Amino acid sequence: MPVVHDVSLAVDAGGAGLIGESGSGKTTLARALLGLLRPRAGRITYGTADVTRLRRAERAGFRAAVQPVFQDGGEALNPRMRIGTSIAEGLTGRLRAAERRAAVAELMAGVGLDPALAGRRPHELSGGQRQRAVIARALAVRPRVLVLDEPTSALDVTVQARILDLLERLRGEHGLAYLLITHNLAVVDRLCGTSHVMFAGRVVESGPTGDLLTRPAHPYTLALRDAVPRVGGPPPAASGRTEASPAPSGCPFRRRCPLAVSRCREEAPRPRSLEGRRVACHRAEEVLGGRRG
Amino acid sequence: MKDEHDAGTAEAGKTPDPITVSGPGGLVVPAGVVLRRTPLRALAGAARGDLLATAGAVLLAAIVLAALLAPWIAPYPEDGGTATHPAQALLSPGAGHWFGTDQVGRDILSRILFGARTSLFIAVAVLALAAAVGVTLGVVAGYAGGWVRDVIMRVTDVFLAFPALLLSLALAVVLQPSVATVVVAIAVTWWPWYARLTAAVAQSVSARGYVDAARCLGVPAPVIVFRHVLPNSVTPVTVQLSLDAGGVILTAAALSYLGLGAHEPTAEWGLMVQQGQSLFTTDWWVVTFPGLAILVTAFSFNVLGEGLRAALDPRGRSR
Repeated sequence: MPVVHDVSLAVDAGGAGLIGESGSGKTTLARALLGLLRPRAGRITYGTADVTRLRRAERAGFRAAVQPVFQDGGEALNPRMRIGTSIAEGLTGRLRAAERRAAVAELMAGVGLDPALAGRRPHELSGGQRQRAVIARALAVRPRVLVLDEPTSALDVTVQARILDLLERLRGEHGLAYLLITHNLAVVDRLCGTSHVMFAGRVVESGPTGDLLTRPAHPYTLALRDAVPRVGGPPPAASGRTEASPAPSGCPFRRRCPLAVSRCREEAPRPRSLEGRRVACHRAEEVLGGRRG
Repeated sequence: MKDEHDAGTAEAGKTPDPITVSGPGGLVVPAGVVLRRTPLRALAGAARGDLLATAGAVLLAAIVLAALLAPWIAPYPEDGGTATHPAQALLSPGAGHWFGTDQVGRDILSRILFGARTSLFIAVAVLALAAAVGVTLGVVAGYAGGWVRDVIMRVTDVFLAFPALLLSLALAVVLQPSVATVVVAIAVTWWPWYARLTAAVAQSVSARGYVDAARCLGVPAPVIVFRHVLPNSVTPVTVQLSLDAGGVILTAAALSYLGLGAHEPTAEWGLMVQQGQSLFTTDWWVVTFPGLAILVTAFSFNVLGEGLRAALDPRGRSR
């Protein structure tokens, strides 16, 4: 069972990034935010309402306000439905066929999709086109928040860039706030002012995205950043024992941490404020100072 | 696809020839030509490679045609019903009666043709009934999960715990012997398999992005089940249906053989076998030809089902 503990984060107009490797709990958290999972304990608030305790009528409003954009793995769109029908799914009220078509065409044009593609099925579109269709479907209900779960991971680098351009433009046009879930630090930098790094179901470091990328304070953030390949640079090498499972006691990262000391085994680090961020590491000062182990 | 792959490995030992593209304007590829993998094309492709399944399909088509056209192609159409000709009882196969005649002088070929109608009707009715109940419950269980799934699957398990023929027998004994009884009795034992199969598929379909997206858009659950989960869960069921049709025909024949199903003068293969078996040493044709009809039909459904499964299952395409 995937478990997420003690996570507090706020999604606002500046955009929030949630970074972590596979299995770190970021998608579980996103599903809870979307109301697809019910948390065992804790609160998720939207405005002033607790999402987990919404009444039927309020839930409809919340549902429309917070929409997911899942990654295109070919499964984000029903393979048997035409693109236009998928995009029209969220359109409510009694629309005549012509009105529905017009609304779909407008949504498609808004995300840079040729409305003539409305009659196609997902497998007849490119990955980038499918991702645009997924975004258009979410926009149909005029959401305020988009939960972007790896929105560009399945795409070519050049297509990725164009989808990010689109997301930046849509944020202004529709007044959207983004929660971006990814393992790709470069993507977070484009869309999110604040970032949260998750490891084993806990947030280990939070702060302004630029600070996190230039001067990480947690060894895990540092490892994630250094694992990003750079053009012309040396090929990235995984540092530490990346296959080790999270430790059950003390600091969960200690088995993989090059800086782990005996204190890390005895005492789980609590999140504390340090140079404009929150970090859960006993030796954060040394990481900030450039020490790598 | 397979061929290209094989060609590639066959050449693996040698240095590959460099590929050069030349010609005025380079390589010209016509745009917009996309060969889609439609189910029909997949079947056509599979038919080329799968002689057994193709043979099954052809045989089945012939059987269905024979059943539909029985009143017109049977040499003695009245023998499919109440007619009797005691003077011509137990004639051996010959020019007048290719498959011979039975104890009351009816043409066995004619009765086999009419019997195909009974058997196919039972197969279609049983499978339609069983699939309607099983798929509905399975999709609901798979999508809803939690206690709804638990309740449905436990009830399903109870039905699966009984041997199918035993349960059918018990039901058929309680009800009046008739074709309708056979249909109900077999359908009751068959639906749990479809419920279990559909529940498993529907559960995995329900975890896909488009289902979550629909839930977030506020689409009502019944609409999600009908629009997203059901259409994407039925492919394995359709394969299973064609695999099972042979079994249903066998079971129906068994029930009629035991006197719990069709009764005189309905032309039914199992009943014909039962009436002919005591004559086997003297008049072998009375029991043999209906028995062969059962065998061939069940076999055709089975090989066709196997072929369909191989053709439609992306993982096991090359058996």
